[in-house]
Amino acid sequence: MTERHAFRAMGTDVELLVEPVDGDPERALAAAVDEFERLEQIMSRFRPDSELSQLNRDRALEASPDLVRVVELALDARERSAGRFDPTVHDALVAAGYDRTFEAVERDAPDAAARTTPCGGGVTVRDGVVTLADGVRLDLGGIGKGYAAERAAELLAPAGPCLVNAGGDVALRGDVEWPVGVETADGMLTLALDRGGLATSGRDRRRWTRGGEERHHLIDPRTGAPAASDLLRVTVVAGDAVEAEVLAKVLFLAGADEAAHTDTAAVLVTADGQTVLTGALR
Amino acid sequence: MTDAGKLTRLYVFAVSLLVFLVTWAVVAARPWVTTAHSTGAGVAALAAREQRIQVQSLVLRQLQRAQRSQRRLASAAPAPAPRIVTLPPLTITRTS
Repeated sequence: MTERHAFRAMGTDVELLVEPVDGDPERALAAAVDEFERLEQIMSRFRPDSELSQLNRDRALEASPDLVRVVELALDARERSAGRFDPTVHDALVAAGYDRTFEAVERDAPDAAARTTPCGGGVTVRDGVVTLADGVRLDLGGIGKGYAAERAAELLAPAGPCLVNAGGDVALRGDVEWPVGVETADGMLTLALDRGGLATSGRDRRRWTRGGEERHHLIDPRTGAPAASDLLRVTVVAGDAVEAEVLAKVLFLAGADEAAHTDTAAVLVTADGQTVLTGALR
Repeated sequence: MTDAGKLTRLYVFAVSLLVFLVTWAVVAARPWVTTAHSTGAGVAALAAREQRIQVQSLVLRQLQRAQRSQRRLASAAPAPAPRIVTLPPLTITRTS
C-alpha cells in the first residue's frame, strides 16, 4: 500500500510516495519534509536570511556543505553545457520581472525593467568558500529542487521503495517500477521507471507579461533574456533528478531541431503542438 | 745608501702601490660587463620562469579537469531505460 504525503515547499507542490517495507514510514516522511524546509532555508533567493541571499549580498561566504555541493553541480553543468545551463541568471530573472516569489509576481504589468542582463560571470568554490565576481548573483531554483528531491529520496529510501516529485523534478529509489505521467501535446504518456530521475522544464507555466510581451522563467544565459525556444516543454529521464533538471533546460534552449537528435530519453513538446520522443523512448 | 736614493725607492714603491690598487679596483668593477646586459639577462630569466609556471599551471588545470570528469563519471548514475506503459500514473511530472 503506497503512502502519499503532499505539501508546499520551494514555491511548488511536493509529493512523497513510499511503499513501506521496513522501519517507520511516518518518521521517514517527516524527515523528508524537514529536509525540504532545511534546504529551502539554504537555497531560496526569496528569503533574505537564506544562505544564498547572504552570498548574493556579500559576494563571498563560507557556505554549508549543501550550498557548496549545489553550486559545484551548477558550475559543472555550466561547463558541460557550454553555458546553456548557468546559475548566474539571477539578475536576468529579476530584470524579466521574476523579482519575488512567483505567487507575488504581477501577471501583467508595464515594461519597466531592462530586457537583457549579462550572465556567465565568475563563481569560484575553494575550501568551502563560495566567491562571486562583481555583479554576479546566483539563482539555484531549478537545480535546488532537483537536489532537494534527491536528498529527500535518500531519507525516504530506508522505509521502502519511494518517489519524490518536487514540482516536476522526480527522484526514485527502490526496485519497484513507478508509473510517472508526462504531459504531451495532446494528452498524457506514462513512463515506468524503477530508479533515476525525471524533470520537466517549459514555458507553459511560470509565465507573465510585461508591456504586453510574454515572459517566462527559463533564461537563455547567452542573451540574458527569457529563451526564445520553439519548444513548449521538455521532459528528460536521467540518472538522477539533478541531471534530468539540467538536461531538460539544455534541451529546451537547444530548440526542437537539435533536441530531436539527442540520445537522451526525452519527451519534447513543440510550440506548434507536436510531441517528439528521443533516445530510449523512440 | 744616500738619503736621495732612499727617497727615490720610497717614491717608486708608493707609485707602484697606487698603480696596483687602481688596477685592482678597475678589474673588480668588471667594466666589460654592462648593466644593461645584466638587466636583460635577469628579465629573460624571469620571462622563462613565468612561461614555465604558466605551462605547469595549464597542465595542472587540465589534470584537475580530467579528475573532475572522472569523478563525475564515477558518481553519475547511469540513466535508466524507461518503458512506455498504459498504467494510470501515480504522479505527474510537469512544469512547475
